[in-house]
Amino acid sequence: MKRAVAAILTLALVLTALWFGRAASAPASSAATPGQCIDRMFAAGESGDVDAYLACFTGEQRMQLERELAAQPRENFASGLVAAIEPLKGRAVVHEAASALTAEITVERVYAHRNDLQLYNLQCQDGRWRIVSVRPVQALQPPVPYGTPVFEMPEDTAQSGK
Amino acid sequence: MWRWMVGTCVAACLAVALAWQFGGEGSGSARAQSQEEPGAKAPEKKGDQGNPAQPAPGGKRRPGANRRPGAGRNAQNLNFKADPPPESPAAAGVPVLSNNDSYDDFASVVQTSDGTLYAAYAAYYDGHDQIRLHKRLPGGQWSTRLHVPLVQARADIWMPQLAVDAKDRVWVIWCEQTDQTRTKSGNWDVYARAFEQDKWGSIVRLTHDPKPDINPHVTTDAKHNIYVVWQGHSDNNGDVMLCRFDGQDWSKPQAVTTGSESDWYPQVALAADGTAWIAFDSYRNGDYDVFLTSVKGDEVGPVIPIATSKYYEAHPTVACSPEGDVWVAWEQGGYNWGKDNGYWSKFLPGPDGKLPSAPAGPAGAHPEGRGPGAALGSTRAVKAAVYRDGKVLAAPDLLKVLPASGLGVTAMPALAIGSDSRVWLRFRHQNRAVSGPRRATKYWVEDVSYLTEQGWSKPVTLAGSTGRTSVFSRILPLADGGLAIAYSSDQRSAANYHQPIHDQVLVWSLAKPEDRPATPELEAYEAPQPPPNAKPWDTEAEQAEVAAVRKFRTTINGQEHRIVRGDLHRHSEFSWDVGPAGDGSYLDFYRYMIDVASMDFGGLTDHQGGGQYAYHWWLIEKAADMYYLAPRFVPFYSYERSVNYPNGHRNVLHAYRGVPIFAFQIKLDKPGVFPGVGTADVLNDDTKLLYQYLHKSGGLAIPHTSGTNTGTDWRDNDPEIEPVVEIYQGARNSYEVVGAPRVHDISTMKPSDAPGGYEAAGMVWNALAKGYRLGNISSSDHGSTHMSYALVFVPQNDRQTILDCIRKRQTYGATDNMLVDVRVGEHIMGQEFDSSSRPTLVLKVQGTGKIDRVDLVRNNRYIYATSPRKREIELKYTDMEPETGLNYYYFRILQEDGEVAWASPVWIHYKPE
Repeated sequence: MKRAVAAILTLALVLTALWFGRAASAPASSAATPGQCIDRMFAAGESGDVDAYLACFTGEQRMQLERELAAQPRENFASGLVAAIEPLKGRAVVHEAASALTAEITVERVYAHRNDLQLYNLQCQDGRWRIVSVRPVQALQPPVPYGTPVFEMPEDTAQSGK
Repeated sequence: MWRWMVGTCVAACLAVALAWQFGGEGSGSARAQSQEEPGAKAPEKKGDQGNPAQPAPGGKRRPGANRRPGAGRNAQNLNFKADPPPESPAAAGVPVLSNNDSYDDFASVVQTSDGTLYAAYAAYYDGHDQIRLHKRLPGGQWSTRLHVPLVQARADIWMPQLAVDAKDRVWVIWCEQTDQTRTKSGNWDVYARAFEQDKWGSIVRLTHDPKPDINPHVTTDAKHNIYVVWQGHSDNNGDVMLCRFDGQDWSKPQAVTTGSESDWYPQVALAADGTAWIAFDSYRNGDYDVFLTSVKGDEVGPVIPIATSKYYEAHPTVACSPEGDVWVAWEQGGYNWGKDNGYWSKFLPGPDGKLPSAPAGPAGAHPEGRGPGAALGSTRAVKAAVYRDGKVLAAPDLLKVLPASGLGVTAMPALAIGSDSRVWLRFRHQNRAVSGPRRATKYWVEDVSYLTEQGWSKPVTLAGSTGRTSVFSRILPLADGGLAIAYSSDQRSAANYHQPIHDQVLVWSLAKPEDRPATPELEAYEAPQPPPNAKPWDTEAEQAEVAAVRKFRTTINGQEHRIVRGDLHRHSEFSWDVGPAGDGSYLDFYRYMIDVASMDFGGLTDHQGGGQYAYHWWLIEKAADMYYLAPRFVPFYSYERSVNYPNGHRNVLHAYRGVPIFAFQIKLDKPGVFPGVGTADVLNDDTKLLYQYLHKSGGLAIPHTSGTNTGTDWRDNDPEIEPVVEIYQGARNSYEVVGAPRVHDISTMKPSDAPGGYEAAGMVWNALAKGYRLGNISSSDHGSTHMSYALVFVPQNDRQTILDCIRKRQTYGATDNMLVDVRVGEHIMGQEFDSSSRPTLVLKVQGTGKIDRVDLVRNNRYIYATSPRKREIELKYTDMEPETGLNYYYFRILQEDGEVAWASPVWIHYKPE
């Protein structure tokens, strides 16, 4: 009897530890700040981690993503995430406004030949931030194309050095 | 957008340049045109700048370029002739008390009841100061000297003066620094010591405050009680202090003024009723104004405004007539003195968003009109007024009696009234050294005038009085109706207007004038009108911006840091190239830094510490001790070392006093005088030798104007010694990279039109490409004010800490009070570190206007640019494709109004896992 109780208790402890361990390792669901949630969303997308990606969203936005996921093979969804991130040269959080429970973050995605602007609305539930809506992408023409050298020697002065 | 702005600026620049071409100030010959004159056309030939003494006449002058407040007479007088230099002391029979074993300054003279004259002065001798006392003997010749025993054997003193008490004792009153160490400025206090019957009395310490008690002025009343006023700094701001000697005891110091704004240079005179009238200038209204107050018994009277326009009004002097009039004279300078002034002012839009229609600034501003503010050396005119029955009355205009052919520029007045009611006025008077319009060829002489029924008498120029601006002479009406003047001169000649020979002290006695003492009818004093189109500076807005920067706190390596604002490239009368015009005196530097620009630190960087002239360097270092007002203001011991391209100009700074200036390593085939400004004729390893020197002395060097004839092709660098570059200076341009804001644009302008010339290899991007670790600052250089800032993140504001933080490159440069913070994780800009994750750079900016552009550069390529159109931004950029290995990143911020900030780069060794 004692052995059985001990075994049950041990199993319960292990399961509890695993449960909490699982919660801790779910990166998107533990975002303590709105910014962290966006970072994790990008990280999950880059690695094609569908669960982690979905965990960054909540509400209607998440349901929509789940519907999209259901409409295609999981691998296609994952590779779509990776493909969306792959050409990215950089990303800038250009605006962040947060209250205790809601936040708004504007992210500028920098590509080789264009930039995109996207606004994310987030909510804090149980201390965890998740994306509740994403506004449509707004294309931007950057003032200077990505990768432009700071100086290119003009042809007529290249030889003289002045 | 930024290219459009640069293009617009360039177009405006061309228009302005054309306007200048046809109405502008000529540049004279290449030889004559100093390379250090901001905006000057580059010399065609590189060479020695040490003797810009023979400028060629000629050239065009922009109408009104020499306008000054109240000076209508010469406004259109465009072709000056050189003024006649003063007579030599020998020719005029003026006794020289000095015998050339020392550098002598701060002369003072008194007369005892038997008519005997005594004179004293400060003598810089063998690395320390002495006070030397002389007596005029019955035969008229002066005695040999007697040394006043001071507090310290190797003393450091300031402004000694004399007074005679009721017992005919001659008191010497002086400021002396004590408790200084090799690494720390000491305490300046006021001391007094009497000389009586061939014996010295004991030293009386008049002040005990641990902060500087300086700039004393001494006088006596009719009963020969002695009054001393001075400038105290108990709260790190200047307050007027007073103490008295009643024949028995010295009183305790009495605060005559208090308050957070600075009061400067008090002067005292005693009325017949025993009232001590004290004149001083003050920054209490957001610009320099002249005030009068009084002390009777222990009661301090109200502060009476005398001259309170938005022109610079300072250095007052006061004298009381037997009839009860209180006379005040002061110097009036430029409008918005010390505010924005520099090369780019003329290309930037004004408050109405429009570019200036002409390069000229307001009258009295920078001689070349570069901006809404006036340069520190802007024209001066001595003004005088009488306070009578509660009213301020204007004294006759001194300008009317100055030579019609001259500049009409006067400064540093001193009034005295004899027992016969004659009003005497001593002042400095600027002479042109050569004919023609060049502004730099000026020196100062000493003049004396007195009042007659018709106004001021024709001034007498004192023999052998050539020198700089900052000469504090004393005049003494004599019992016989004459005047004794104790003054100093550095004996410079008109031909070498910029170059001192040796500071000496002279005492001249003027005989009683034949004219009867008289005061003409006086009318109410009227403040000068603002120059056309000039607007008073918005001081409140600026104070709010400064307060925001000062309030900011951040954590670096677990320690709280703040941002301190400074300027590490300023000049004064001690720089031979511009000489005693344009940049003001070495003492003006402190007014400007402490009050006008509200700087937290700074360095006066005269060329070779004042032409490698020992006394100038001594005064520069002494002043840096006197005005050590940490944490409010921290001055460095600094100088500019100017070797031409490709070696480069550098400013050198130290956190402690007494490091000799590192002389140019001149080639031995160079004839002539050792250069006092700059040179191209140095040994190949000159810069490397400088680095070696600074490694031993703990100093820093900061290269500047790198993309000009005074710049460098980046052949040398030592990250320990040269951790930052002056990427922009108000006197000229930015040297970041062509196409960037405030960089001379060679796509639309000739390279040779760039002020100081153009050297492509000197642009800072080349240094970064070579792998140099260079942070960014900006600072002013000649003529420019209030538009170049060096900003440093520091845990506390003292010399060594600032220097250490500059060495760590925790810096940025800006043209205005912009707050910029760049972080990568726990690291701040300027740092170098390894990272296994992609860098995320966080930029915070609090602008002084809406931000037009933010650019992020990685490895000399733009990787991100945005136009936020907001005053405050926080931006977080993650580089998704950093290069494996070294990446350097920096942000540049451009406001809609053209103000710019350059963050220091951060160097990240990216090692992905």
